[in-house]
This record gives sequence, C-alpha cells and structure tokens, in this order.
Amino acid sequence: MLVVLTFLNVLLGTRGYAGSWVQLLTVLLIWAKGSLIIEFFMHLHTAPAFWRGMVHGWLAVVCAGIAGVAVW
Amino acid sequence: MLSIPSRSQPQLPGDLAVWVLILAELLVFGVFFLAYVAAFHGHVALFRAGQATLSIPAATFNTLALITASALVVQAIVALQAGHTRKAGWWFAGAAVLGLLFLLNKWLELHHHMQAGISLSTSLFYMFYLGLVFFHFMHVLAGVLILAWMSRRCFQPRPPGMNAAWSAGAYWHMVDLVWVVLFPLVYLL
Repeated sequence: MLVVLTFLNVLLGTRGYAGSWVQLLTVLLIWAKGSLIIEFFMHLHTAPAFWRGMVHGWLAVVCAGIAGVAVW
Repeated sequence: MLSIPSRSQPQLPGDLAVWVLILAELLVFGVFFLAYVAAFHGHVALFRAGQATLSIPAATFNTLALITASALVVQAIVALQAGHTRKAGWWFAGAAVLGLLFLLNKWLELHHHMQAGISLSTSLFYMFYLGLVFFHFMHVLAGVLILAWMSRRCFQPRPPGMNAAWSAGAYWHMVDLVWVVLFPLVYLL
C-alpha cells in the first residue's frame, strides 16, 4: 500500500498536472502514508490515546499547514 | 500491510524516554516543514526553479528503501517476539543495509550539488533543502547504527529484550515518517 501511494505521489508530481486540487491530493497522500506508518509500523493503534493523538496530531498539523499554503 | 500481533492492554511500544525524544524530534521537523511552506509561498518561482534541479528518481528510490527497511524492522520484532533471535538479527541487518543504501544515495546527491557549487547561501530554497535533508540524513545515520547494534545483539548469547526492540523500531519508523512528508514536500509539491 505504501509503495502504491508513493508511486501515486510521484505520478502527480512529475506529470505536469497543475492546480490547487493536485496539491491537495498530494497532501492527502502524505496524510494517508503517514497514518499507515503511525498505525501499523509504529504500532500506535495499541498505544494509550495520548501518545497516539500526539503523533497523529503532528501529522494533521503539518498536512493542514501544507494544504493551507496550497489553497491560499 | 505488515502488522505485529496486538496486546490486550493499551501500552506504549517501547521506552517512554524514546517516545519523548521522538515527539521532540517530530516537533523540530514540523517547525522546519511549516517554515518551508511559508517560504515557498513567498518565493514560488525561486522554489520551483530549485526543485527542478533535484533528482526525483533518486528520492523515489530512497523512499522505497526506507519503507522496505521499516517493513523489515516489523519482521524483526515479530521474529524476536516468537523467540527466533537469529532470524530477527538478519531482519535487522537487512533493514540496516537498506538504510545504508539510502545514505549512500543521498550522499551522492548532496555531493553532486556541492560539485555544482551549491551551498546553504546559494538561495533560500537551497538553504531549506540542504538544511532539511542533512538534518534528516543525520537521523537516518543514527537509525542505521541502532539497527546494526540490534542486529549484532541478536547474534549474541544474551539477545536484546522486547523493550529495546520496540524502541529501536519506533525511532526508525519516526525517521521513515519524517521522510514520507519531506519527499513530496521538497521534491514534488
């Protein structure tokens, strides 16, 4: 799944597609890949809610920041 | 998706101190990322010109290397939980080798830029690019050393405990998580 999402990222970034929707889609892919890493690699789906929330929160803030600039 | 068998009680996988370190590292990288997007917004043409000089195939290879290494670390922890310590040692060693490949590839990319006379003071884009990439490079280097140490311990009479394995894995996955954001942000957006 992560490999497929990576190639989708590269496809969007190298095929000359333009516009805010492409950037938003790229950010969505970043969020999806990051969430998979947090849940299944870092194994935080079995961790206390505080730690799970902190790492997911970090990813959400970073993605929101990137998306905000893309739309602005 | 690879996964490790769940435990019944909510429990932090690894040492608390390592998770505090991970949160601190994520905070620093997060500030770097948000500063990058703010600077990008103010200098779109400059950043686009800088991005055009970067190698997307090399960075894609690096992404695949880190993701695969993370999958191998998960396999190592599964093997260690099952008591197969030598098998875990080989999984950790494989992950460390992929980490080394990442470092070699990134070093070649940085060397290419240095040969072209590019430095931190060349432009705002390169200041961010070189700063971010080198900071992440040092974290991968630390991760590779940790994985190599874990691998070595798996072949010794007293193998590492599960807490050490979870902690080493968590640090490595943090390095992977940061790259998963850094790669599209700096190379593709």
